[in-house]
Amino acid sequence: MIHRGAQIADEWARGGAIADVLIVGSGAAGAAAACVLAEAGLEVLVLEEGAPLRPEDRRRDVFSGFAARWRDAGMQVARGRGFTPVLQGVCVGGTTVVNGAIMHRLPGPIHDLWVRENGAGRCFDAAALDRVFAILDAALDVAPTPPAVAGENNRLMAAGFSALGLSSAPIARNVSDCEASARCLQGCPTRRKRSMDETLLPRAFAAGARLVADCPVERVFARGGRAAGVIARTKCPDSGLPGPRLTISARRAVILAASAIESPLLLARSGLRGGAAGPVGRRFQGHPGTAVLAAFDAPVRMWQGATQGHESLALWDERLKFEALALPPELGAVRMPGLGNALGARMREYGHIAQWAVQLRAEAQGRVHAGLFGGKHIAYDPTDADVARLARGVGVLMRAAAAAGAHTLFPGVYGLPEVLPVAELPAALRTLETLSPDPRRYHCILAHLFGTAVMGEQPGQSVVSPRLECHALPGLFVFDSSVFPTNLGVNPQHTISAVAWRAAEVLVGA
Amino acid sequence: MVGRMARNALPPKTLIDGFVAIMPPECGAVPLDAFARALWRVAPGRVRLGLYGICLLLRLRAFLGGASWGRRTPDERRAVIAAFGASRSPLLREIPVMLKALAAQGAFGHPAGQAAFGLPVDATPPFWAP
Repeated sequence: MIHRGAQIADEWARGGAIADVLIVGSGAAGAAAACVLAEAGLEVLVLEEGAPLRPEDRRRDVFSGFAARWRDAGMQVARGRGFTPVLQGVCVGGTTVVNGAIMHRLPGPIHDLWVRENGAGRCFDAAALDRVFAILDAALDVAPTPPAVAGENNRLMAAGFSALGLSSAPIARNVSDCEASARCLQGCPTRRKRSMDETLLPRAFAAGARLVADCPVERVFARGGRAAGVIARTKCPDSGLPGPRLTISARRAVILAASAIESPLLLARSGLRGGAAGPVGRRFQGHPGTAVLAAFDAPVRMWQGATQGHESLALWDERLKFEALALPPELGAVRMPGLGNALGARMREYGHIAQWAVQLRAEAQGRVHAGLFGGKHIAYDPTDADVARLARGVGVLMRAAAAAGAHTLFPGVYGLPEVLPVAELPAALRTLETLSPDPRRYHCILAHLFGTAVMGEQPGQSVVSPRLECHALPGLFVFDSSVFPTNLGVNPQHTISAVAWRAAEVLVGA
Repeated sequence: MVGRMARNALPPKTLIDGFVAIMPPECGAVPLDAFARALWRVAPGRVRLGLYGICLLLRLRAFLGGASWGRRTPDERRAVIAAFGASRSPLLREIPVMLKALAAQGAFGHPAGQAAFGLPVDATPPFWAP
């Protein structure tokens, strides 16, 4: 059952509230944990900062979609040498509502590294994770994108990579009976995406879990040396203005599942930072990415087909992953060259444009901490080696587009022509190799966030133990991607849910 | 107090004029004006302050170029914005990118704008619907 914060504020402000387990956040981690714990018979209360999606929220324009469901209306940024947008959902179901629905299991080499260096094998051994992934595959209807809904953007990418001799494949997605409306990023208009609000949360509610939306958590409080609950503050769903503070107690555990940005901030606000608390907010990692647009003679119509239906892991060992990425005209126009009439002329050809992206398993590590005047500061700067790899990825995308039959490319790289006829590609590739490794040359975004409360066996050098309990405060757990010691090189939703699911099993002693 | 001002104020006219100059004329000024107001309601305070800063830069550049921003035609305003795009400073190069990123949502998210370009039309975009 979903309550709105303002509805329960008066009742709980009078009598307080209590549950066996409090879960902060309802995304891939929070929903999975709620499902396991509620089905194990525990009284579970999920606190979600964002609002539930209403039918009218599923309108198709980008602006209202981003305003209602993305953190800071999609305008959250990381600061380094440049500004990089950091994309996160904030609604019931979290980012799973607004992502590309791409499902990947934890890559073996990454798991091996976590086991070797962070003690992850104690709870997250390969056999246990495989079992959980199979459960989630079934619960979320994970299946490869069928050809019937792939759309031309995805088909062209397959042709281009095949022509280069690079392996590629349809993306496994958590979508059932996709209608190919290419609107995954705004929240599926036809509710075909099997996001957490459509799958694990309803299952948790059926087992007795409750969720309070519009209820940001301010801090965790302790009693007798253990986490004992949280102080939350409701907010008005219409105005967003803060309402009364609530004290909500937990009999057994408090679980943070609020993301690699919000969980470390919450830990810090709760007095857990530095010293014995470990590197809270540090070792922040992600997958910066950029995209190349290409114009074809035949129609592409990116708005028809799976938003992201095809990918290549052929260069995963070089830290690169390639994906088709359909953007609606409201977003695609940003990358089309020109202003005024010149932009208009380009946009008339938008139906012939394809877009593919490269995401990078970056080496860079950043930091998340509270801002000087409130809010937050996300510091992140790709290393020179990262930028060089990104350039290599852009080069591959341009070559693939040319191989698929594009006549014009839009590289989106400062230092290359804005509009690049394919005949000039060889010269552009040579120039690309000589450009200085400056991330500000690229239109990057940062998605997939990790590592601000890493797991490990050594207190002081890690924030949580291998069973994801805070070294510095027993009874407080972190279940989201903050605990991942490294980035993954693949899209993380499936791994986040699997890790949270397994950690919840360990918590109840399964 | 600055935050409260930013929260309550309407979008600067400089910004709306900039949106109109950047987008193709077919998109029309009315949806862009409505979009700017909607944007101002949801944008975080620091984003609004950043846009105020960009507006000041636009006005300064227009003034140094010989005429105030308000007296310039859309073509001239477009040239002012484009000049930032040609800057050697990566930070200043971001100005037209940011403005275009915002304005495009208003222009191409509007049925008239999309129809003018043969793009798919949404029946009820909430930022402009009555």
